[in-house]
Amino acid sequence: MTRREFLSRVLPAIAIGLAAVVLWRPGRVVRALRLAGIGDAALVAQAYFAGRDLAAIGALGRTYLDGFESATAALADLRMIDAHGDVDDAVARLRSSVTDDFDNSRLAAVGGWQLSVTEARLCGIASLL
Amino acid sequence: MLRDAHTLEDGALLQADVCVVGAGAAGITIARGLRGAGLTVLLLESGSLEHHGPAQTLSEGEAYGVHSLSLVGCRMRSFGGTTGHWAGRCRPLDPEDFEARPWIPESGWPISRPTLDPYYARAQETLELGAFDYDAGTLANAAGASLLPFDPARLESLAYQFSPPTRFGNKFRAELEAAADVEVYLNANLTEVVLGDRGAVSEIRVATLGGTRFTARADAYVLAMGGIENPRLLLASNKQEAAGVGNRHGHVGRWFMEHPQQRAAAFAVVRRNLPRLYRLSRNPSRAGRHPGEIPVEVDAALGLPAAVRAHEGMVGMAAFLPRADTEFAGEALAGEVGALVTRGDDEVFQIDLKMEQRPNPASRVTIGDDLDPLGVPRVRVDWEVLDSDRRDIARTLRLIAAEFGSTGMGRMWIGSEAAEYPLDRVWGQCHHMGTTRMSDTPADGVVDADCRVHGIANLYMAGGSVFRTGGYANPTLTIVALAHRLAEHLAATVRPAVDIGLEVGG
Repeated sequence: MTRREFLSRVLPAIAIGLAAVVLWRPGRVVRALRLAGIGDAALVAQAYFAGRDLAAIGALGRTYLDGFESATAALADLRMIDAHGDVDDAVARLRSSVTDDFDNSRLAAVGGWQLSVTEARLCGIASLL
Repeated sequence: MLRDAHTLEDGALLQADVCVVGAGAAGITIARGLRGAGLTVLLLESGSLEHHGPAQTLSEGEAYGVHSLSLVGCRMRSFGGTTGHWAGRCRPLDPEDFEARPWIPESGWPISRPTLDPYYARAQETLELGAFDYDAGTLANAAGASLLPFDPARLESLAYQFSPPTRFGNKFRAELEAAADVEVYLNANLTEVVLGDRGAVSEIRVATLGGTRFTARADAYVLAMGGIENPRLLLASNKQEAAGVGNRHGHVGRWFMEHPQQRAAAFAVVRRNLPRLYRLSRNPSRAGRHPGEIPVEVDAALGLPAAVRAHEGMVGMAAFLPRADTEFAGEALAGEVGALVTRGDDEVFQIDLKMEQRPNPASRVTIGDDLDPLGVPRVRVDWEVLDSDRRDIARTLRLIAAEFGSTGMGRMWIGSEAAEYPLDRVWGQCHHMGTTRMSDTPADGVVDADCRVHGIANLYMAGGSVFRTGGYANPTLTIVALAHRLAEHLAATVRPAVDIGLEVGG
């Protein structure tokens, strides 16, 4: 594993774990996630699931992360989300990505639900909040 | 004329130009189709005018394999046959169903869908349906309903028309009673098909449960007793050829097919209003043939287009969307997982699949050692569903789920993520097919393109037993269309020679 790979894959996972253990309060977790370079994704995930039962979504996300992808792999694509400009715009892009997943049969079967891979990864992020 | 075979003397001989055994949808259609053709017709029915009469016991047998096949409950031995309890759902087989599909071994009928289209149109009239048009858009428009906005190249709506349903026993009794060239005998059970010296049937032997035994002779014989009784009687007629009549190549009774119905195969959480065409059976429409006629009722299911099935190498399925059965929905939507996708304005529907099954020689009708009260071996049915069919269930559901997500219709929950779908919720639909399958050559089936048994000049099969593949559509419309076609063939080929009548003795 190269140093670059280590920094991009392992470090965020360590940061997430530390954040979850040491700073277990949503606001602090988001800040910790931001420190790990995925804070925008977390903010966007919150916005994406606004009005929904985040606990239920988190449970689904844990199922996804346990059974399908490591947190770092799941989050790799979503780390690219840049919400500094406009969260709403980022959510819209995510919704487009979800549709694109379904159009191209990129489905993730999580607990029986047929979700788009992007959607499942967002649930994975939500499980860390 | 309509008579009770109990009134015949023991040893009587009946003669006609054409003898049709079985007065169900196929048999009655053939008898009616031969009226006015200059032929005399003998129509023999195992039951009486009464539903669930004593003849029902003759349907008893042993069922293996998929657990839900009901030998007695599915089949009605009475004048009108199983139309006495059918629901009336109609749709033709798709054109692709008649074609050879490399991913479905033993597919490919000797006839094409266009060959059958004129007879489908006649069948529409027989079954009191609208015009022969199953375009979903046309029927939705006629019903004043909308279609789901799926990309038709990925997921299409499958339209159905409903027969009232036509109860053949009630609908056509008076006509056949009044017909001078048709003689109907009730309580007349075929017990043996007898071959003559010239490779043709010389006579058939018939008995009543009351003990009367008699013989019928004709220039042509049609067995129209259904997909289980047709092979049973051919196999049981084994005094001259040990394998049974028409069974030199071992196909009689094999290739038994149903339309496996998978209830609650999945659930759909729908975030838009589901058009009523999918919610309700029997949406009134203006698709009646004539002004002022009772509107034809229609509904729709969802299915993968033929091109998708070809690309994926899958059998056909129709996905129906009834409101979720709470018994099943509880499992799907329980607890926190359900909370993700359900909101107050979401509606939950279960997905019931009705599917084609691949022809399978191990799925078969045979005869056992037990005899019925008339001395005919009782039937054994081993209904088998291939693993490849089960795999197609999950694959089909995933493709439907993708389209639900893509269009924003909602999300789907699929109960099994296993590669092979379980059969614990599979029901049969009383659609018994394939057991005297149609083929170009004797080595490949039982009947030819005219429904004539290969190698036997004057013996024909009618009904679902001649289906080479079953498609996913309910079979009655196709059965009646094939019966119209067979009647036309018989009218053109059977030489009128015999005045209908009763000869005592013989």
